[in-house]
Amino acid sequence: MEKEITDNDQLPIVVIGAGLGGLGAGCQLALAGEKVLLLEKHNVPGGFATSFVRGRFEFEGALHVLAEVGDEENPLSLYDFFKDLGVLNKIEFKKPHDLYRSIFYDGFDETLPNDTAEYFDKLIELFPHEKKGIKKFKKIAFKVRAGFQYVAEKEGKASPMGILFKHPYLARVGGLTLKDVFDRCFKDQRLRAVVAQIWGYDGLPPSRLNAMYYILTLVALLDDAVFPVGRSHALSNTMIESFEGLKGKIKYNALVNKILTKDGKVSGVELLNGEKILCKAVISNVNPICTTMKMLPENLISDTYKKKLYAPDIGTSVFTVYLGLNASANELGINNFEIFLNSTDNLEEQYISSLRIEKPKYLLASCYNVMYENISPPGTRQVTLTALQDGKAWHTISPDQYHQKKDEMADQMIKMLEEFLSPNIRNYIEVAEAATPLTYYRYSKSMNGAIYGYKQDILDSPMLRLNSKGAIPGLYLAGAWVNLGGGYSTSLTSGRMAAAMYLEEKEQGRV
Amino acid sequence: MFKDLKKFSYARKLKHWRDEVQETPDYYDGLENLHDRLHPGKIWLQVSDIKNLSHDTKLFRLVPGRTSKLLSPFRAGQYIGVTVEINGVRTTRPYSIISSPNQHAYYELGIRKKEGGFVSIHLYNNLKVGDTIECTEPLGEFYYNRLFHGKNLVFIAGGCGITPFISILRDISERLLPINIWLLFGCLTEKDILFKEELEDLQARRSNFKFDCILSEASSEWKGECGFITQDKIKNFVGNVSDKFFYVVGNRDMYEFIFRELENLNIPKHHITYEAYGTPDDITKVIGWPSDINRSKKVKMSVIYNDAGLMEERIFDALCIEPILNTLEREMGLKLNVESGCRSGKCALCRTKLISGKIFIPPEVTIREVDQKFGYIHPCVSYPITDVYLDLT
Repeated sequence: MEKEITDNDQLPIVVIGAGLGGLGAGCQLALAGEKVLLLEKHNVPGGFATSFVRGRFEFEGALHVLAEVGDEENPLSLYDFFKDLGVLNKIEFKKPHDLYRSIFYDGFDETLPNDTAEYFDKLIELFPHEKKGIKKFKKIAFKVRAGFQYVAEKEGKASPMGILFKHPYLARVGGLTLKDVFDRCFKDQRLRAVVAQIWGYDGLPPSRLNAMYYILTLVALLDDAVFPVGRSHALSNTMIESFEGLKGKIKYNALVNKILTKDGKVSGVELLNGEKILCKAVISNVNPICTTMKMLPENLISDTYKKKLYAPDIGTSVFTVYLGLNASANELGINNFEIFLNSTDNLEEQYISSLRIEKPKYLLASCYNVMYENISPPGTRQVTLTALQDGKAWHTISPDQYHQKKDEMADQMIKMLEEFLSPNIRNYIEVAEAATPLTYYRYSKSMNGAIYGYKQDILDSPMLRLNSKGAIPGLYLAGAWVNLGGGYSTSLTSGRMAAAMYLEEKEQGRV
Repeated sequence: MFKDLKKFSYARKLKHWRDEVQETPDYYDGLENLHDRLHPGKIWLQVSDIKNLSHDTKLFRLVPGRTSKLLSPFRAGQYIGVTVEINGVRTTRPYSIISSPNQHAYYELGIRKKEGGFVSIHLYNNLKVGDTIECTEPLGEFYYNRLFHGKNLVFIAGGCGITPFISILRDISERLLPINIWLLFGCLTEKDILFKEELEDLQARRSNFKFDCILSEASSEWKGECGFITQDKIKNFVGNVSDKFFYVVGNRDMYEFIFRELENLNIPKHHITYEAYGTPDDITKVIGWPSDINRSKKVKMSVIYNDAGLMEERIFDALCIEPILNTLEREMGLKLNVESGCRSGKCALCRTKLISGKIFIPPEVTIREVDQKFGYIHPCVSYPITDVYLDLT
């Protein structure tokens, strides 16, 4: 199939992978008038942003809440992007009423509102003796957020000194763990656990998590958490429709095997079936380790770069149980969207248990119908149980043990739900499907099935994480592994940042 | 403040230092091999043995077609898609695995010479020992789910539908699982009772397994039950039905009948599981089929596809009563690049974009809500009722 290489055949840019990073990059480029080809190995776009059908249920694959959209009066970082793509006209976003409900082993059971003022008022009401600290934490959180918005507005051109003078808190939390920040604000162990309740959204407990990630996640979700009607599958498909409307081209069932190079620069990609597509630049939504170590010729990668890739730890994956229930909410006692179950106050202990295949100590039960009634047929409920699970724990599972281990783990998670919330839930299950780290690996090829890329610790804070610059000229990286870290909005933004980097280098004549 | 900033610059230094001191790594992906064993995608299997199961059903034993490859483990009840090429038409059909999941040396399939069948007849007549066939990895959601199926199971099988149950029964029996099973097996005549000896033997050896056969066209010598599997027969056989979980495998007519009977017994929906319907033998008899479209009506099917990098377009006639995928396979031959597995609209491997035109899908098929809006269809169970235009690029 080797064809004569001519300049006419050569595309300006190819994006590998239509996950959130690839969608962000592809759409951003298409908006800028670039001729883009997007290659996706699966037959649906979205990566984790997808859904699947079992019986009469269509399950949301991964999304809990989406941040950074906002509305016309208060546009956030994704607002204009979605508006330009026409996503806002085509998709309705639902707002959850509460941010989360927290249940602890000892009967503590409180629901935290989604409104910023109400959220902190509720914390003060629950922990009046910590009023001062709660106010201090709120102040720090919003200062960090303001600093982040300042940097975002400057589009990466903010000078370090400028940041330091105008928004010192942003720079300060860069080197702190969440525990460091808590130490300055709270004494109460339970308060810490409640405030840090959504640590699962970042994948590390306070003692290890970089404070910047957590604060940005929490503040971004307060007031502005939304969920797209039609599930995240609607989001990715709408983006693809707009992308195609902007003359972008997507090719499904196209697994890219190799990135081709010429004189040390990107010259094209080769698909699994041998087809070669020539291009001047590539944005890869595949994780950086695979992109660099597997898809590029080995002699082009410097040892320094290899070390940079492998030195950071790979972050957590999750174990998910999707339940379709033939029952209404009242029968089940599940009346909130996000319910966190904790069998200990010690979040470090919760994390340690996620490293092993055992009954979790931290479990999230999400009932989507609370926010979005008709996500499942009338009279039914869709409940997803999520526990963090390190992909490493699955390295040593033998193939013939796999299904058994998967069932055992899912069983333990349902047991935990029975103990905390819904003792009769098994009687109502119509469909149950589980996803292990291997399942996430299967659909994303993300190392260890990691859902947020590298661990978001101090050494990989947003300021120190790998950026979009790939190993060789003409190669850019997008997705959770680089730039701002894991999550829906950050992965989209990561793709947009890769696109911006490409456009800038193209303007400078470097590509 | 400066203490915090120092911490950050210390972190930065530490990161650089860490990057420098570690050894140059090689490629390492901890899950890749487990993934490749469990989800090899396409596999090549070689026929090692063939046995007659009955007058019209053969058992094929399949071993890895490439010696170094190991077979992937599966759950009892799952199927594999067998891909064949018949006169330039490349197509795939699902067959349940009969063999026990506790050994990984081979898969066994039972293939019945079905009247009017396309692939089954071909496989039954032509597949020889030593032949290599292309298959999908084991797929399907019909298996014993210990999360909620409980300990009392009622299996209702019709004819060839016994195959997944044989694998499940072998698994439960081999592992001595404390599960009670009642199997109701509906067949046409005495000579259609597959695995009769094995089932009788199992019943004799295991106190937790009961088995009864019901023939609809029994000869005068038959001493057992006759007729259909009605609610009375189910009740008489299993006793209390409310604490049991029902598994049903058969053809479309049988599903409609059994589900009505189970409904009359007040079995809730979530206590019933069933294998995919497959494509209907006669789509015009399916509920919802537009009555103004008769079985000989033809429509124009246009497709745009990618032929070795070049965009091509073709138009051909299509029968309304034939699934779109079957028409495509016949007309496009080896140029068709659409995967398929279950042929029931469940596995979503064949998801394809419908640019324009109207289709009919059987009521039991669920596809993603948004896919309907954006025009994505599962062509294996979609019937063209107007001219259609498909994007196969």
